[in-house]
Amino acid sequence: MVRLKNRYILFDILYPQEIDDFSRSKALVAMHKSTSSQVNPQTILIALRNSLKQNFGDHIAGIAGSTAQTKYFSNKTSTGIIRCPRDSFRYTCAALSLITHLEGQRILIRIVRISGTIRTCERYAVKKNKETLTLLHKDHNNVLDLVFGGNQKIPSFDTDNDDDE
Amino acid sequence: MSSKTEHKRRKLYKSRIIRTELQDPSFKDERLNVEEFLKSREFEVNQLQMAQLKSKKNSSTRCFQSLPRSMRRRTASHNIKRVPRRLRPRMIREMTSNNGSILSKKPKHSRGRELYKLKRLHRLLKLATVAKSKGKPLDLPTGIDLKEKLRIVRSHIAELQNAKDAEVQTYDNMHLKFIKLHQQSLNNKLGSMDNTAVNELAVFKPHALKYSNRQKKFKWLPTHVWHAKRAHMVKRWGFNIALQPSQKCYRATHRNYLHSHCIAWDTSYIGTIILHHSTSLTPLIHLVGQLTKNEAVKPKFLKNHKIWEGIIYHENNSIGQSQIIWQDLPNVKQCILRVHPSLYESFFKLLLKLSPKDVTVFDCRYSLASFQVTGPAALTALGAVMKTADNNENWKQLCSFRDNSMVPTGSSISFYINDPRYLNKPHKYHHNIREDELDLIIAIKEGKVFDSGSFEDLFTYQGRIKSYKNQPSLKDLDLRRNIIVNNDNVDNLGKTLPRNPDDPLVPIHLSKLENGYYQVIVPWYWNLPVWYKLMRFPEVRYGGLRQMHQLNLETNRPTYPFDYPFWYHGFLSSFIQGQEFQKKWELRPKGKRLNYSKLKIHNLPGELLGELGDPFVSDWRYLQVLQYALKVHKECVHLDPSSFDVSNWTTLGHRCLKQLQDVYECVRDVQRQDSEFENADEEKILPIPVKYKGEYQFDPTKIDKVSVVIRDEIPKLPVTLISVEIEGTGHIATNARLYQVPSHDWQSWLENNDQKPVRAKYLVGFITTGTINLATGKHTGIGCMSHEVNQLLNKEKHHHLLLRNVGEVTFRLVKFQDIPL
Repeated sequence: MVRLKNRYILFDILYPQEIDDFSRSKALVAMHKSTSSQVNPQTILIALRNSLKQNFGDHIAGIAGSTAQTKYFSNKTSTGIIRCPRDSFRYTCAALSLITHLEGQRILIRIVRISGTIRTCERYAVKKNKETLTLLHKDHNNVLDLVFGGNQKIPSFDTDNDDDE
Repeated sequence: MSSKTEHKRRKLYKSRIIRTELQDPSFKDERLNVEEFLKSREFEVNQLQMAQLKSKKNSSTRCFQSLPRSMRRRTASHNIKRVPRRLRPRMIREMTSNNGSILSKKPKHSRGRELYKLKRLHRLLKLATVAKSKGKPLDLPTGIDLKEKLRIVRSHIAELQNAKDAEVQTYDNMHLKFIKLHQQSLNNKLGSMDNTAVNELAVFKPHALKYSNRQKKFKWLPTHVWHAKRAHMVKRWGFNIALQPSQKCYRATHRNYLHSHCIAWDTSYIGTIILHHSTSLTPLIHLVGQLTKNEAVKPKFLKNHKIWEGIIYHENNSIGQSQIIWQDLPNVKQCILRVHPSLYESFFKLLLKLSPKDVTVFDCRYSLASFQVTGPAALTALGAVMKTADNNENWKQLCSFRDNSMVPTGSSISFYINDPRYLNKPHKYHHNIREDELDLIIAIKEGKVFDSGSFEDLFTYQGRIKSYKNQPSLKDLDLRRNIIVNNDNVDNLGKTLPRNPDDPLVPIHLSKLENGYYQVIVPWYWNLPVWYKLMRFPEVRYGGLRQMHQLNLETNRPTYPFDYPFWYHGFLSSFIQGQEFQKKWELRPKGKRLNYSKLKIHNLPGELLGELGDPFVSDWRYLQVLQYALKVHKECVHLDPSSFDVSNWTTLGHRCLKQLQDVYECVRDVQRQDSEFENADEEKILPIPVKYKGEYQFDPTKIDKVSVVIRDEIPKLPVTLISVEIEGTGHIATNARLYQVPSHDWQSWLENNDQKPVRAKYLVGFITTGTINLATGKHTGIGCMSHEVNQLLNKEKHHHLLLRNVGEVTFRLVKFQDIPL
């Protein structure tokens, strides 16, 4: 019985901004915008397959794309996990990186982690999220209250942004 | 598709989905809302973690797979009894849901000849039980077939009606008479008996008739069955001993020894010889003084209940190690010697030969058992299991010590304990009074914490027989417990049973050995009850021979027999190990194994190709011949070259040592001659090439003008024990070769640690045990090196050597330190 081996790719969808004079935390929040609800796991897969076909041809598109599957995709955090066969995972990664537009939006897909099990991808995602949370905590004092409850009003960045623009 | 499988599949599918937050249809992508961002991240983290847990829970794990590794059993998949009680209902549910037929399967029984054999064995066992319950156990010789056995058993039972004591009365020796009478009619119904032999070697009598066939060559320790379930057993020195636990425990052993918990070993294979004299201790002192070069007969050992550990000598040669306990009581004058089983028989015969007529030699191999415990929780564990009959406050205080170095080495105490099976669960003593601990230690050293009654009882056969009298069985104890729970009070359920007046007390002897282990000596048939209860104490772990070896390495101590190549058994163990390695190497195909004869190690002109000596062993013979040949060569270097013959060979066919390369070739000649010698006559074994220190019998005057090396006349090379630690990186393996640092390269080796070629003539020793040492964090090893070079290096205060593992080409700098024997 042959064991079909896969790779799980954890990726982020980033929205490149052209406004400078951003602090680190602001840049983080800006780049990791939430995706529109038109984008769902199926559209991502379609985009991947198209990219494979365009960049690598029919043969590779068949090998890598036919058994690819989105295991997880969250619109709010623009994070997702794709499963692809192990032998052609490099093509899948490349194809993902070469996707330029999604539903009209200019995007950048960043490969965060590749691993053999979904559990390690999940674990890594959790770790990364916690790191970004702590990073934001450093820059914003009252954020802890926000996360753990509290009735304080937190100043959002809307006002700053308006100033720059 | 049945609803069950469909339900399961749906459950599995659901468990694999990771929930995501719903996107707000009117989301604002211009705003950078930190609040939203954080919230969504938080949600995602939670969901991912939930997903991991769910998928694990709902995937196909059976209940026995959720148990820790040490509680998992292979047959748990189809045998409910192998699963802990609390999981059994779940197990039954799983088995019925998956495959209902397993539960209802009936075990098949054998047919035909097998069935007949089993029935006969069953009949034999029944008869044996009848005999045992009447107090007269069977004395069946092993090795005879079943039919004979049955016949013997039946005749034996018939004779039970007539007393066979008449025969025993004819024995001259009163000790023998007493013991034989006891063995014929026991004073308990468990079959516990004292198996001491008088002035001859004892014959082992297995406790269970059912397993006696397996114990023909290699005997079982009392705790064998317990160990067999949890450890890999190995047959050595006439016993079946635990080698290592089934679970991997290299780091756990280190932790348990150093930081917390404790490790226990059943060391009943160490045999005890008791020298007995009816009136005075003097003949014993004289005898033992002879054996130990008057070390063990110093006054402090004779009086103060101190145990002596050291070397035994015979005709000025050291033959092994031993523990000696002196007993100077008004009724009993004895000297107790404990030796390793590999030495036991030869040592016993030696004692028989040397002891005068009025000294009786008892062989207590199979009547005294022992176990050793070490670690911070050692005394606590012992105190939890061994409860003194009279609530000894000193023992309670002693058990509160957690520091291993508090109790001085060699101190020993002896007392009576209650049957450990009275305890429901071992519970440690609570000693709250903060008394001065030094007072207790001084009292121990002076021998005040000592019950001479139990000391006498343990080491005399009368006392041991008394300790087995009315020994209750587990059934009896359970009945007693039932009575006090049902009739008296339900609160008595978890309490210790009170002692009945006619219950036996167990005499024990506890001592602290040189290596920091606590040794407890108990009568043979009390070992198992104490062991069972000891293992129920949560902080106790069990070990095997390998664990002892590991801990010895961590504390820089040599292990018998591996690290003693100058004694027969050390040399033999290395030889046997070498044979195993060689077999494994030969099984590999030629293309995939290392070719030792083609290694380029010593990359200098005049050096030979290949590994030095036998690559599978620490080749002491090679070292011995090499050192001798080098000496001969050196002596003759100054001889007039014209006196040498033109040819390279003498008339007798010996090689002339004119150059260094001749020395190497000469060593190979000797090796070839050795192998011819061995192949010629199977009985002839080469003598041990090395000895411990001593003088090197090298006579320069005897050397011919033409320097030759004659195979038979090579003197034994004196060696010393050393421990090495690697400087910098690198690993040490067994049989690694040790070289002296060449004096011309000394500085560069020390400073740069650059690889410079080293000549084979600098070989000085081998490593017998070497691996990573968790106590120091580096690789360390224990081995031996030439005594002469050792003294030279110590004088110049150069404590470095070069080490090269077998089959490798890199030399590494190591620091060495002498170990006293």
